[in-house]
Amino acid sequence: MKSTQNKSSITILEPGIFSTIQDLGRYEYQQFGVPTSGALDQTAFTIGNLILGNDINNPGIETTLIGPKIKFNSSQWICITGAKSNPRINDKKINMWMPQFVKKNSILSFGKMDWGVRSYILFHNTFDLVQTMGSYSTNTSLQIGGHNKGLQLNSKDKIKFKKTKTNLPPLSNNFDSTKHYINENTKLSLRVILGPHDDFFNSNNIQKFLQSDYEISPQSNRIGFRLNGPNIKHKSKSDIISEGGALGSIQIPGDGQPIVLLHDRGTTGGYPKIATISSVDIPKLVQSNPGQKISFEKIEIEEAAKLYRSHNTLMNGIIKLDENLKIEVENSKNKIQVNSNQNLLNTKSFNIKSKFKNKKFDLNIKLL
Amino acid sequence: MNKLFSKPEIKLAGDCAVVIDLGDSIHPEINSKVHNFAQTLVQKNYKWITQIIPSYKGLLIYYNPLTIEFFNLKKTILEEFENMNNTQENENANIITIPTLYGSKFGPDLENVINHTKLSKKEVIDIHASTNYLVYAIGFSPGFPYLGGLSKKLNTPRLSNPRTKIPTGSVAIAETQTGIYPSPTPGGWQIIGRTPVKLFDPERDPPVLVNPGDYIRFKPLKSMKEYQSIEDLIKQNKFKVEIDEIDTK
Repeated sequence: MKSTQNKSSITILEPGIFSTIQDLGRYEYQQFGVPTSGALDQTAFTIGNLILGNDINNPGIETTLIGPKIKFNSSQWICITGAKSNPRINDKKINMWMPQFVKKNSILSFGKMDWGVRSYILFHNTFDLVQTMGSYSTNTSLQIGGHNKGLQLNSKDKIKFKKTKTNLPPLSNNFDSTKHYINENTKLSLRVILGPHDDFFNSNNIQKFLQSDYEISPQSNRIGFRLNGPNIKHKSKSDIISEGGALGSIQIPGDGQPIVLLHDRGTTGGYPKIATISSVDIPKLVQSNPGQKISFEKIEIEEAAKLYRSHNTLMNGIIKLDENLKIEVENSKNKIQVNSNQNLLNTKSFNIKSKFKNKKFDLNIKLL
Repeated sequence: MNKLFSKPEIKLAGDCAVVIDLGDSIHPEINSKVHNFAQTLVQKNYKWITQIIPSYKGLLIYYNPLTIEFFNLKKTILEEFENMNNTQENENANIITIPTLYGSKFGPDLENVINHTKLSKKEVIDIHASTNYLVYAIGFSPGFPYLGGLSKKLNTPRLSNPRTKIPTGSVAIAETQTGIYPSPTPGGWQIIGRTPVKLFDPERDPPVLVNPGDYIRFKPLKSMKEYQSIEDLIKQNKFKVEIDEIDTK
């Protein structure tokens, strides 16, 4: 059965400051010197796909500070997560962290940023793009991936989607921002595991690193975040024989000012790394603005592993396959009841009446 | 002093990665151990290993903390290292020939090297092209080989004013190092020539031409015409890179 006649697409009306196509990254090619890239805030990215009932690696758009203005040339479900960017459809404010049905010819725009830096636009469908080395992620400095040879989004870009999905995203989930995402009011204290090169520094300098506040420099990007604060001095050498550098490792170059290595980092480097940020705390850093103060708190590997595992369990708990949730679907002829994730291939247009987190859905959907 | 450790040093690189050091310096013996160990671990197909990035004296191993505890990881690594030491090592390596046009507009800094080393143009080219260079690691930028073995006679300092963009395929030297730039990047090395061979091509699988543990040999091209004819063959997908096997012992 043919699911769609016309290919669906979006058109970029305004690109925003720096918007790129990302997925979770290209991990298989680091041994060949290729950076992973991928969404900086993997938690927000993953949650968006979970909410849409997608594969968690389904590509989306990462926005930076000011989001893009996008025209939808066909109807589709989307979900916006991450930084509080006041998304709107046709100038009407929409909720983040839940599936939103965008009708054909609607325009998605963003308002004032209330918190954070990077929002994610996740789509129920998948971009009709060719993966570069196993990933859709854009690396603008190496000019690979994305929709146009590694470029960021630009005005008038049109991005097509593969086959239109005709099922609905799950209209029920367990997402709870206080439980699953960053608490905006917590102090920016990032948990770190010392190493791999903490032996390049004496205990005074390690204490200085752990007890000082550092400010995020404006010279921070997807490759790394530079921090300004008290100088960390090396015992003697300030370089190592080049070796692989992990995500979140904090390197201390000769000038003593820390640099946190992020997703577009080169695979190898020659500066000693005093500590590495625990995986679950990376989203806190990448949602911080230049000028924001952060500090570090030392934890042991066992605790970091525990944090990693409980985060994973939390994420898995977001999906709720509620067999009992029925949606009333109404087309011109009759009313039928379907499960939230049921395929609606046979229905061309219908009304959905459902409850989602006590909010009523009442949508008139026309599949193309 | 080159020291090969009797057992690996395991260092934490966060909650998803460890650095495994097998030695403390840049030395072919240590590096060969690194690549053998990487191979051993790949062959074992451990589910908890997500990526291995070998470099000069050790490896960065990314792992999945959902499937292994650090304590067990450490134990497994030490056991695997011990087992590997008891087995026969492969002593053959690939040697890849890289056709290179030295000098001309492709090697704008060849004059600098001639002036600094007081050698003739022919001598510089002969010395550079007569060594088998060990690929210690791939990194810095996609497909960039860290090469070892440059003759001391060619030791020339970096440019005082680095270039903002080095053309793809440039063959360059700096102090004790030599390398080939697979993609246009900024850099301060002395560019002495260029190869039409693509060391990195994202459309190719695998995207790299040389792997760590391989050797590279430069073959001087006689003329721009010869360079262009190879370049044409590459464009038509008809060029076959010369790969031979050598005994490293």
